[in-house]
Amino acid sequence: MLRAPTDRHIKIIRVFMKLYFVFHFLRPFLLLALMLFISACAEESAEPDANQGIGKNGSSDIEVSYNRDKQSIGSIDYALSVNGRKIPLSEIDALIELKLFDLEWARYELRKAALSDYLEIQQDLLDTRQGEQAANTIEVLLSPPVPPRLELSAAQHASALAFSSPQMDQAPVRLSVFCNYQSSHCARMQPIYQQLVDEYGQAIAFEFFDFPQAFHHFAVSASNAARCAHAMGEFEAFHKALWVNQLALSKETYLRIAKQLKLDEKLFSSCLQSESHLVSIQAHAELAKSFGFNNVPVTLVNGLYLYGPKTLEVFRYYIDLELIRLGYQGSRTVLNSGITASQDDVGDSARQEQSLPDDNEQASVETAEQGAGLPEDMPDQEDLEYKARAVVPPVGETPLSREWIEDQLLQQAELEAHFQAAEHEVEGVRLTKLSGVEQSEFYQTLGLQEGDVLMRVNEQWVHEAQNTLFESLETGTRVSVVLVRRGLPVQLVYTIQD
Amino acid sequence: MKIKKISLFGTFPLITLLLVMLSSANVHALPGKAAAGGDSITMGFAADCRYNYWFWDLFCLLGGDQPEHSWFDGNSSSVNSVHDRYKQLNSGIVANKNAAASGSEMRGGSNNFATQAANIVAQTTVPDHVEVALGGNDICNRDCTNPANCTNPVYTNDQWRASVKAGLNTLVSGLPSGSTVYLAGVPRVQDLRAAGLAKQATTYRINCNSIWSTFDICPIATNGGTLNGETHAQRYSALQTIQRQYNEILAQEAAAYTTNANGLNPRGIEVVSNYAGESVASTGTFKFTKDDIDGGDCFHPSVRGQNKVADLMWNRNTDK
Repeated sequence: MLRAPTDRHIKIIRVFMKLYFVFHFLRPFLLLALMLFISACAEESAEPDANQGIGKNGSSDIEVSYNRDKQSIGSIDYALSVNGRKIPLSEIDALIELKLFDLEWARYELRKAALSDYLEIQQDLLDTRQGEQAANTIEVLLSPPVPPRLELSAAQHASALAFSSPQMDQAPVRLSVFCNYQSSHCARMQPIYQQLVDEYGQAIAFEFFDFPQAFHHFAVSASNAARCAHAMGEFEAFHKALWVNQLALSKETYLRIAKQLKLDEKLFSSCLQSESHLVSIQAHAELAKSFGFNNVPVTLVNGLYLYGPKTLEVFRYYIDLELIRLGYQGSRTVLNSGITASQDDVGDSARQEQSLPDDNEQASVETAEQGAGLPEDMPDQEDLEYKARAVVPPVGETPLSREWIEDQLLQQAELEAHFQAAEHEVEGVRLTKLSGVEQSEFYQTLGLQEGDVLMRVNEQWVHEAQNTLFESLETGTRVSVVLVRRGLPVQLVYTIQD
Repeated sequence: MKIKKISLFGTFPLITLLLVMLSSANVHALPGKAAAGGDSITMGFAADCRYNYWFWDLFCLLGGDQPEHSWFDGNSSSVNSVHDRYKQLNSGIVANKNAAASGSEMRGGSNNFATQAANIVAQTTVPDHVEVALGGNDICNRDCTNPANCTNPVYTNDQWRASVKAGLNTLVSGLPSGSTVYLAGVPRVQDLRAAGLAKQATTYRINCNSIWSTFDICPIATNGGTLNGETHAQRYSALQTIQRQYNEILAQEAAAYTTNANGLNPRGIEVVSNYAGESVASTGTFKFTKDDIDGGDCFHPSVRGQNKVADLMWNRNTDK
């Protein structure tokens, strides 16, 4: 027989039901907590006992123990306790400041990449709503990290090698470059540095610090030669010529450049021989190491540390920041301008923008006008798209003495004979190929090689019916030559010294 | 009911554990940062150059590298690069080919494999996936196949092997544990001539034969006559052997390093060869045709060729 439940029974049942539902609801959380507890216990038991001297280093008597809890008092984070004296984390970070910034930069690049992907998705959404809204405003608020500022003393600045103009103390922004002449990365940076000079003019000044790497066997001799030229008042031109000869650094090359700069041959040779600047070069290398630099290039923008090859845009950004900080007027470079919904190439995959300089456009038109016997079927617009590529930039400049050129051009007919018609024909004329370079002081000094095919001199094409090289060298002050060497394009620039 | 309770208690941690294991397995399978070493192929040189008939055609060649068309990390929509494919799996994967440069060799020159490897391990955040595509220039920059015929013959197998090992030694000692090095096969440069001749036969606006000879583009493979006493047939036959042997050495060294059979890779960095014998499709066995080379210099991969290289590399990539 079942008895009717009393009120007391009903209350008890209700309490049990409530407990059941609460337990049912909390069960996954309780299980998770239990698992974490077991896991923590397991980790703790796996940890060696602090009293057993964890982290003992060899025979050292220093006993180090690790505390899993973050040690912080107030807003200060501590990293270490030595006999009760707490060492702030910032003190340890200061030891690896540059490395931490490098990581910070990497984090910025990752964020840029993620932002770009995010924007791409958002762009699709915005596109679908384009009908609803008149315009979309996208502003990238991500900022690059602020690099640590490294202070160079007045004496250290004074020891650097600088161009004559602008004066170091007159330019508001000083770029201190740590490089060596054999580094391909440093060589590839030269067009960027040159472009900065062209853009900022008197606002920036360069100073160079030698940082030869152990595996760059000719870097020290090249630096010594540059310092010999510096002592004789011709650093800038010599420096630029060395980059052109980056793959041919030798005593012969140094002497050849010195001759064109009309440096006293005896003095220069003696300087090379004595290696009198090795101590200064070593001092620069020590300075670089004292900052914690391991590799080249390193560029300091008014002391702001930038490691490795960086794009033109990055340099502009920090130079502009400095100009603004110092109260100079001007527009600020937005470093994130490369982030667009359509551009998925960000992060580490920094790319050179392929843009069309005006001179190429003109040259293209010029060629069409000059071409003899053009077939009627001109290329269509689609074909012209890829002509918009910029010609490879020069990595340096080769100085040439006008007196020497005039002397050489006395045998112009002989020099012209080194160009021989090649097999390939363009618009009815054949390209020309250089031969007999090894026997020619002229072509060797120009840095040309056997088999080079000269394509353009300044804005003119070179072929069997037209070669303006000699005329340009004779009358010009700055001559650009674009050639193809073993299938790859090279641009050389000659500066004619009166 | 009791049984159900036991089952729930027992399966929950198990499922969680499995999920954790699966998720950690995913994390380890994909790299965080990829880097490439390579030459002009990796730099996308001349990829979209189509003709060499007009002077303005030649502007394309004078522009040089086209990094946007690189098989490795080209961002052009016309190339589905290895980096593009990685980003489909994880958008956070970054990539660079900063160490690569046109003209590079595995052995010779100023930016060989050893130098590129040193640059890769010196990067601020060291990559955990490295792809290396070198070797074409090691063949193309040589003057003859038989050392008796010239002073600049093709590298011997021992020389080639030493250069491969020099770069790998740097990578396996400098990359983080768990990293992968992926070696592309040496391309079949011996097929260049046939592909170029077929290409120029399609239009008057391309002349491969004359552009090769004028620009000295891989004469050992493209010259149709006698070069340093070696006929084209002789060179073709010799290159066939040399190119295969170079690839076999890449495969041998990859195996020796990845198993640490040579004792040079104690941290167990994975080294994988794209080449796995002549019967397996790889960059070392791919017989490129007229449409796979550009129409400017008839030498470098066209945009289509870059896509093909990306396919071949991706398909046999174990690190994904």
